[in-house]
Amino acid sequence: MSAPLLDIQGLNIAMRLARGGRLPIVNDLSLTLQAGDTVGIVGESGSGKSLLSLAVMGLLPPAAVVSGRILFEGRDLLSLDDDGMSEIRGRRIGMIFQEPMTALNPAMTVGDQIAEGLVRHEKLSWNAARDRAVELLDRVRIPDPKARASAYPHQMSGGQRQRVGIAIAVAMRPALMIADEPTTALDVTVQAEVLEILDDLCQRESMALMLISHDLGVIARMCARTLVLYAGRRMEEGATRAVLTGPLNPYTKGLLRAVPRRRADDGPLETIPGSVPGFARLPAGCVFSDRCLDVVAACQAGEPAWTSPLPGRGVRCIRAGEEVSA
Amino acid sequence: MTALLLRRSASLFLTLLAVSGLIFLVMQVLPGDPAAIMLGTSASADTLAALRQELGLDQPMLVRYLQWIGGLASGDLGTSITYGVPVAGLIGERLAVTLPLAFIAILLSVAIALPLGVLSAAKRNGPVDYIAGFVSQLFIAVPGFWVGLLLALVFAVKLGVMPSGGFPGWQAGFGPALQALVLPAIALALQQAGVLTRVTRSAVAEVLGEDFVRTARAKGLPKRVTLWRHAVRNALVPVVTILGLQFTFLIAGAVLIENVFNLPGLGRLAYQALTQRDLVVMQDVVMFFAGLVILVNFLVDMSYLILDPRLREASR
Ligand SMILES: Nc1ncnc2c1ncn2[C@@H]1O[C@H](COP(=O)(O)OP(=O)(O)OP(=O)(O)O)[C@@H](O)[C@H]1O
Ligand SMILES: [Mg+2]
Repeated sequence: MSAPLLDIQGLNIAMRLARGGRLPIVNDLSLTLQAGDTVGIVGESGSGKSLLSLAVMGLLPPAAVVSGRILFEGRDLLSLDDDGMSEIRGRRIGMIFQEPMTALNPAMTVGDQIAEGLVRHEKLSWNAARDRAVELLDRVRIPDPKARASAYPHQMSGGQRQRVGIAIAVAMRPALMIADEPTTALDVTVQAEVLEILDDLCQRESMALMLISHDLGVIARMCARTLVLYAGRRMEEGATRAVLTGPLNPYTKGLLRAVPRRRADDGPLETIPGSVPGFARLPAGCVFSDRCLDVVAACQAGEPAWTSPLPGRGVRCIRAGEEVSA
Repeated sequence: MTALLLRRSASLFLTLLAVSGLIFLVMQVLPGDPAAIMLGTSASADTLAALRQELGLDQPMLVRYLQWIGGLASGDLGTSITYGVPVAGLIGERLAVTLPLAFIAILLSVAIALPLGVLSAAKRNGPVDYIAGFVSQLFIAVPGFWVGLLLALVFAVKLGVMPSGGFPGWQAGFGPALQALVLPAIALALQQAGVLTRVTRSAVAEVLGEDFVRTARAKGLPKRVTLWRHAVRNALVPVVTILGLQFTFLIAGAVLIENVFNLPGLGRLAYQALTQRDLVVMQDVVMFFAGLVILVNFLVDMSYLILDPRLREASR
């Protein structure tokens, strides 16, 4: 096997608190992507998904303290300074953000916002870059791209803006695309189209995709592999089909039960009882133990280790073995 | 856009009209009969009445108001009571001092405040931010005329490198004329620069927290480019707004500073007209200042349309 495209090893992210001290958020997270891999990252709000993606981009907030290793194309991103990171951002790693309404500069035409990265990384003239921006708008299926290139973001719909966001991110054909809830803010009808555009571009450019979402349906559609996060920890990982059809971790099962079904006769929607406890008040032992339906006394004894009870699968749960043999 | 321009211009005109009425009314209630002041206390009732007629003071108020604004519209601002020359020429002459003075002061305050405010915002809580914060508080706290006196004392009296006051006129050459305006312009600019630095800092700091700045960084733009092209560009509306508001204070400051430095500008003219009860000059100068302030605010309004594309449609 060739060297992985992205190799995250033992990543920890803590937040420096205003009143002093540090609050650990992301804990001992490891994740490997080969070129062209598609990985979905799922977890409830506050589980650290965005922090993980920002850590890869080197755009964590100043209060964040990060340790571990993020190897990308063989270089340790955490040891690069901002200039070094700027060379990689946009050019080798593209990112799409959640909020199309606020993620674009209101005082700059969308064409220029796409062209900007090309001017910076490919040393194109602004005119040449603007022509490329029109092509890119066409590729994300904006009708009449030549005219729309000189539009401002407020003159576009949410779905169109998110396509502009995609055009910005794919402009330099990065090897890795990170999409942080790219469709959460969009109407359901628009979501499908945006996902299709993203999927299409990723395949055509053979980009690896790290897709963050609450929505297991989106992940099932887009990603070959899935990583389930809870309170900054890996809970479960494996091929998407395997994880969704045979979850090993009670947390993943809870997430699956909470997915709305299309059929109307399914009865009331189930939710996981309780909510993600604050990072300052995590239970002893397994961080999910206070909400887990399958909890036993041993769960509180210590944080379960990351184990691999089946080939290609990883899970953090002391009872996962029972699940496999059952 | 053209419709908007027309609408704003109409409202500009109406504002000017309303202000002219207000200024006229205030002048009417000011104590002191200009004719009596011109003639002194020993004048007889007959000569007084004759002069009042000559000045048009015996006419009804409305007639006098209409005559005044009719004159303004046609460029005839009347004749100064004390100087006996047309006020239009008087204002034009004084403008050659005040306008450059104001212009240099604004330029100076922007040249100080913009980089200082932007750098403080970019390096919040760093040494530059603390120093800029201290300096701008200092600028804000110290009155301009006092700075003027201090500057004159140091650079003119002690060091003798700058003129302490007076104005040689532009006919004396660009250099000497400019030199006479430098210290007063600094005195005028510092307080404004202090306020503008604070405003710039907070405006840029706010924009730096916006999502689109992160998008720009995610493209791989270096911090410096993100700062100026994305953050500062979007922070300009509040900065220009404050700059427009400051123009009023700049005019008020010019009256003081021109007197401190003995500059023959409009502010000094206004002050002299006030002490000499030259109602004609006073009325015209105040109207001129008011017109200037209204015009500047109109331009500020218009600049929003350039600075924020969202307003172009919203205001149609
Ligand atoms: N700038 C910050 N300062 C302090 N704490 C932060 C900051 N950003 C995130 N956190 C904390 O880190 C945790 C994880 O945040 P993150 O944004 O990564 O969650 P997420 O999984 O992306 O959630 P969501 O689905 O809501 O986007 C949250 O509990 C949040 O409180
Ligand atoms: Mg998030």
